[in-house]
Amino acid sequence: MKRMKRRKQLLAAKRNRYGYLFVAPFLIGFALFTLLPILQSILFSLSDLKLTFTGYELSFAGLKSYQRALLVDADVRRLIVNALVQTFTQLPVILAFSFFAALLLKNPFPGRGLARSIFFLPVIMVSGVIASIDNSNLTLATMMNRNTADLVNGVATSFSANKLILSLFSDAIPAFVLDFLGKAVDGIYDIIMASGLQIIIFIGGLNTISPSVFEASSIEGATAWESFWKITFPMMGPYLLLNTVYTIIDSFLNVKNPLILTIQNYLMSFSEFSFGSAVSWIYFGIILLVVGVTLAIISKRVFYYE
Amino acid sequence: MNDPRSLLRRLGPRHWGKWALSLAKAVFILGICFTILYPLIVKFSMSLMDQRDLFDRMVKFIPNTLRLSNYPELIGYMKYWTALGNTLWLSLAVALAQVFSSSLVGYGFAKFDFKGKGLLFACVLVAMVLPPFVSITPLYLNFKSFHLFGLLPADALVGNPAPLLILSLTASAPRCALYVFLARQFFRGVPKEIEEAASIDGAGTVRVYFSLMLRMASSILVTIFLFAFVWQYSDTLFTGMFYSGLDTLSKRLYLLGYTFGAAISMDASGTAGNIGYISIMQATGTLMTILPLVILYFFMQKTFVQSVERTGLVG
Repeated sequence: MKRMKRRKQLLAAKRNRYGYLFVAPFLIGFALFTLLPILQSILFSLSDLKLTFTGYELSFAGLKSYQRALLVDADVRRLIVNALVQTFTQLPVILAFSFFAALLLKNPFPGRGLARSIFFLPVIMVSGVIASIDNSNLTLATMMNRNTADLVNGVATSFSANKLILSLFSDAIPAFVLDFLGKAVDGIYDIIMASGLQIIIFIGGLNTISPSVFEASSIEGATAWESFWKITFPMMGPYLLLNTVYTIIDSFLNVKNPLILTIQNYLMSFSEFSFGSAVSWIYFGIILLVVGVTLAIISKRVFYYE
Repeated sequence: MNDPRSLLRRLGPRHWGKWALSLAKAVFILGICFTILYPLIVKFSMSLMDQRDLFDRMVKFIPNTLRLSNYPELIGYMKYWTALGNTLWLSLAVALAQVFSSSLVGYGFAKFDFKGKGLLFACVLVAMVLPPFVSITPLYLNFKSFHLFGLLPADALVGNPAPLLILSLTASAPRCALYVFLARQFFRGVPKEIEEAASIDGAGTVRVYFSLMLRMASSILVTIFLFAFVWQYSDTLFTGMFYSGLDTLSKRLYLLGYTFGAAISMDASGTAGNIGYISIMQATGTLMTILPLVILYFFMQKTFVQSVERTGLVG
């Protein structure tokens, strides 16, 4: 009996060695194409880069570029703060919206297939050049506004309509809340476009909850409202975590993010290359910190159903 | 259902709350769908316009003069068919390579317990949040100076698809870490018993993976393929860096506003119309770039949505 057990363990150990085989591509790729360039990029950010006939030459410069980025340069700090504010104002709205949309799209209704296809369409429309080309199109914004202005019944633009409605409540609600709501309504298009994958993940999550749980709770006399807060919401914890992290990363790395454009411009020019590397390292550090802290805060509260 | 009275009862006051709720739902869903489709509708209407319509405040969606020649002109400017062909084969090759590597690695992380797994998975998470521009320039320099101890000619790995394929096959292209993560989540949900049964029947670990697991995972593979394909299709950064000679749709679309400005201003007849003409071309170009993706999406969306249904993505 003991020998059998030992044999089984040996077999398992032998099988587990195959794990390295499967992970090998990533191991090689990470070492050569991620870790090595990262270390080189740290080296660049700590050096002065000079062009020579044969290539380039590095001379150690210490923390000069970091100092310039954090203490001297006028744009970098402002853009970093902007990116943080943008991310954290959009995060709750994106999460709430995608959760709500997932709840709506989960249950059958006529035309659900079509509605789902359209809701997921942003997944193919927000990447790379397709997202950024609209910014360089000079008359597109005018065309968009001209047509919507007409839709909201002759009010000059849709934006002032929002302000008008919100100002009606200005006595009852503090100004910063109104400001937040106004921004959320103005940015509704960006929010919908940024929610494609999150809706997918939430629907996947909702489908893992077995219907028998709801049946049991309704037999016990729970209302739909109660079973939502006591069953659905806690069960979605892991997906909420995944979506929070994904949304933060997506927002920080979005091609429309002005800081990213600035960094890319710096990295394109040879004389500013070290500076660009330093700024991108500062930014990467902040992203890691934010994601780490968020993970630590949320994962403590998340309920795992095993 | 056939009884008219039961229908009447369903429309009665007791059910008004329900009707109101469905109405609110319908309005909400239609509203969101409209918001998503609206930019496409505007671009489509722009793509049929003459420059004068663009600056005419009386013109809403429907142009005064239908200008269908925008499309052939755009196809000329973008070298559309060549660019489309290039984009399709490159995206297909890269996406297939990424599907292969990331599912392999994801399976390794999901189903085996080996030493250092936790640390390695932390590396996946770091790769997931790493901004691509942090590493791209050193990466380029490395590929450029790589000659395998003098065996390869200079610049052998730059200006061809090799770097993109190498990065994809080693799951280190941008966003590959995310696909590894998705694949791992899927394979974690596959019951152990299936593999055990197969290995009792005499299938080795590698064979279990290739002839059993990959088939079971087809839905998540389709999802990863779609993401990887779209990403490569619309990428300008990596493709521009490593394979700048290739005319892809994303590159031609990106260039439309810049270098074409000169060419356009020479043969456009209007005086104030050049900006408008470039805008119309950009709108048409965006549409023509998205169109193949939308076609692909509608072919794959059934499997894609099904995979959403089934995936037990657990965070």
